[in-house]
Amino acid sequence: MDNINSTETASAGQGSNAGHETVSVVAAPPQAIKAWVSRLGIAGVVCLAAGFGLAFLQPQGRGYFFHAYLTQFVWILSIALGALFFVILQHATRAGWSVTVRRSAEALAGTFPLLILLFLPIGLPVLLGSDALYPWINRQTVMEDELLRHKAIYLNVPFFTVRAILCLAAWWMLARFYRKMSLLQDATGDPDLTRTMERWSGPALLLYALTVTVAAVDWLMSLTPQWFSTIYGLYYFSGAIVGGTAGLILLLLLLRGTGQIDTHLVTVEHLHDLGKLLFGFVVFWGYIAFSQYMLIWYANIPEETQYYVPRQTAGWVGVSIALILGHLFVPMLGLMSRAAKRNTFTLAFWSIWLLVFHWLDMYWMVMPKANPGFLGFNGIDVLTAAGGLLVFSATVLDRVAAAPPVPLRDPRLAEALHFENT
Amino acid sequence: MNREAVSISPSDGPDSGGRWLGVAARFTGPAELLAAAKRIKEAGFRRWDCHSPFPVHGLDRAMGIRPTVLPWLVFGAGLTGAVVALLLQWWTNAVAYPFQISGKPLFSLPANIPVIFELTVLFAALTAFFGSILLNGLPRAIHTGTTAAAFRQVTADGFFITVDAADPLFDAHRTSDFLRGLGAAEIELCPIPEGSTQIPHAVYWGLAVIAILATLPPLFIARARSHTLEWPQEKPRIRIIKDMVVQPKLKTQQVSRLFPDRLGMRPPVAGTIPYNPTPPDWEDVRRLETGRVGDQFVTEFPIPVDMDLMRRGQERYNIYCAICHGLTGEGGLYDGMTARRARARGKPLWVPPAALTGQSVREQPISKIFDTITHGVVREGRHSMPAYAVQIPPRDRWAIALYVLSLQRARAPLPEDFGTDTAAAALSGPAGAATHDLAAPPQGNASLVSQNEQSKQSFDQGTNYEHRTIDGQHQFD
Repeated sequence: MDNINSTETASAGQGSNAGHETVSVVAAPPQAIKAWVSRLGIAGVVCLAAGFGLAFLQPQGRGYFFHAYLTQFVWILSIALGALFFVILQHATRAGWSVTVRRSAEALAGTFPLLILLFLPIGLPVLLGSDALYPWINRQTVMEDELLRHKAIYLNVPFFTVRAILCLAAWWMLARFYRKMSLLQDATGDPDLTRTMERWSGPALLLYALTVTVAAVDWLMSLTPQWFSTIYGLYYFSGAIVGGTAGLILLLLLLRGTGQIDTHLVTVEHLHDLGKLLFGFVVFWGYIAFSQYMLIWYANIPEETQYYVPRQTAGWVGVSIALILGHLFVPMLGLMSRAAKRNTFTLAFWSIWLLVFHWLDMYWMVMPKANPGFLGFNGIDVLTAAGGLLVFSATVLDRVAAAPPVPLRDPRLAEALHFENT
Repeated sequence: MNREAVSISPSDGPDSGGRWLGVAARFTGPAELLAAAKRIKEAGFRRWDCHSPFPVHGLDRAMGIRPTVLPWLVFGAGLTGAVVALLLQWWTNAVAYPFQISGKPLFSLPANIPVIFELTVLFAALTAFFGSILLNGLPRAIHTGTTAAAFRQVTADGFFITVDAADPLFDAHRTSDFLRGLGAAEIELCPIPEGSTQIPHAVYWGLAVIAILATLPPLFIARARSHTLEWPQEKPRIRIIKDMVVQPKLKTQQVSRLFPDRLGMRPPVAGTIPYNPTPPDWEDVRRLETGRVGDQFVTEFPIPVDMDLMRRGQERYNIYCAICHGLTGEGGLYDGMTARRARARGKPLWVPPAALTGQSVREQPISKIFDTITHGVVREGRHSMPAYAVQIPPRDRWAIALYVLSLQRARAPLPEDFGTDTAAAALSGPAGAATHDLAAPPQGNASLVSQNEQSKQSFDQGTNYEHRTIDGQHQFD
């Protein structure tokens, strides 16, 4: 806390009053990044378009495409949401260690304009009354099902639209606020900006929790509108933190590896701590997933088990078991050791592994209706996932290139630079 | 704080221990402590330690402390906890006391995971807690630094390094000078405290006595619980906690000190009259409730037989009986949800329910059917059918028996049943006069049987059989 009012903090890069703590910030020119933005972006759009085109060559391909598209959307959305949570959490806990990695998390969370754009192919068909994704949009289906009639007060197109706009707007606003304030501090060095960000972090977390729950219920749970699970929002959240942390680690490793961030700014100690978070939330995901499963398994009531029965039949058994092993036990053991978290290769390996299995988790949540019995992956799955990830990465790199790689004049920068785990 | 004690008197002379526990050096801050720790490690000291009011990052590395074995112990303990929890639940649930709960398998992994998780955490946490205490060499009666007067600062703002006299390189003067050379703000030799530093033997003896005494309550509880295992039980269980089972009360033949005549059993108050002025015909009641006169089964219904009773019987039958014997009473492996489920799972776990429409049951007197519902069926000392006396009142049991008769009649109809209006005529007889023969099949039962044949086939083809209950319900409507 002493550091906040101290003018002798390590001011990196700006060079004015650095004292004995001057650290060079910009090592490589950001032009190298900018070149990749357009390449990745174009490749991503091409992949998405190819996936959409492929849908017309297959019987029932359009319904399949929308499900695959939703899968990749909630996947990349969760990475951004995980990063946004990370940023708010650092302010809520007044964390010193994470200052140098926070700017990268802000870049990941800065992708909400893209995500709002990418939501349109999901939101517009709903507005136009297409039930390709959500059965409750079909008036006939609702009238014939008593449960859906009772849920119509919540599951209807106008209210759905309002909620979607509120959620996306809230995330965009939060991400924008924390990034703008942080960039403003780079320019002014005003420590009061940190206080302001901290003051708003509590309400921000509340807003975040509410909107993530609503989004998970609306966009994912209402795919099976008769079914319900009160822990569903938390389930999506737990996966989002895994995805967001894995994405953040990979981004940092990329920027470190290409010289965009000096290895003295983001040290192995920071990576170690991010690895701990990743490990912890892998276990948290398993805890939440099992909590949801066990109650439904125990009570064995048809209106609840209808969610798990399709996921336990035919090919989906394999996917479910792959998730238990690949999303929980294998990475848990892999990330348990201190050495694994301090080695950039193993850390990158497990981050990629978890991003892949996190996508499989989204696939498992969305696809059973479009891909009954799971006969294998479709080209559409691969193309949409690749396209989503590519346009997302392009946007992240664009954000990275637009700002210094670390908060330059954060009052806790010195603490982060000297951070050690032992 | 006595600063005089801090300085070393030259009269002490050269000294390599014996009079000192060691030496404590105070440094001004964490950075100085780190720097000094590196130099002491390089100088080759072995038995020394750092003390600070808060954890100093990087001190482990500066002191050259090797990684602890504790994580491996914790990992092993966690695994042990998981395996112990799994075996415990498998043995108690599937071996020692097999008891089916809500149709789940006796040994079922999802149900066991919470306990596995908890025991994993418990074992690992206890190992981490006690392991770190033991690996740090605690508890310890006396520590080198604690006899130095300045050392108490360590809980406020003091950063200390202590070197034990037991270190091979220790020498009171040279080590003190060395530490001063490292920038120590204060050096103090730690005197050996007066008197013995050993823990008195009485403490060990006391602990042993407490340990023995501590085993007595569990032993007593174990004895109190175990001697009731004898069978037949002769002695009452020893009740450590006397709850409501043990309470003062007066039983019929006991002596009471409360009343002058010392009788526990009280005569009716003077002027008491019987509640029921006309006593019931006990013979009728017995016939209704047991279906017997003396040792003989009665062959006629003790209550009036009419269409209402038949409807009541169908309803009760479909509620209580059809789940095993099937809607048609065919029983066996094909009718009845339980038998079908057992068959579908490939595990006929129980004796197939009897066919109520079969020859042996058809030849039973009506009250034998009533009697079976009342008492269940005991085969080889076990209830293969439970007694329904508790769930179904006597009147309803007779109604079910009546309905069973109609099912039998539908299965093996008499020639006159194929005429028109016979059934209606048979049932329209005077109330109370109905006999076994008069319990004719209600309309539609023949079709019910043929439907059953169809459903057998449809079941064998693996189609569903959910909706037949509704069909059965509507037969009389």
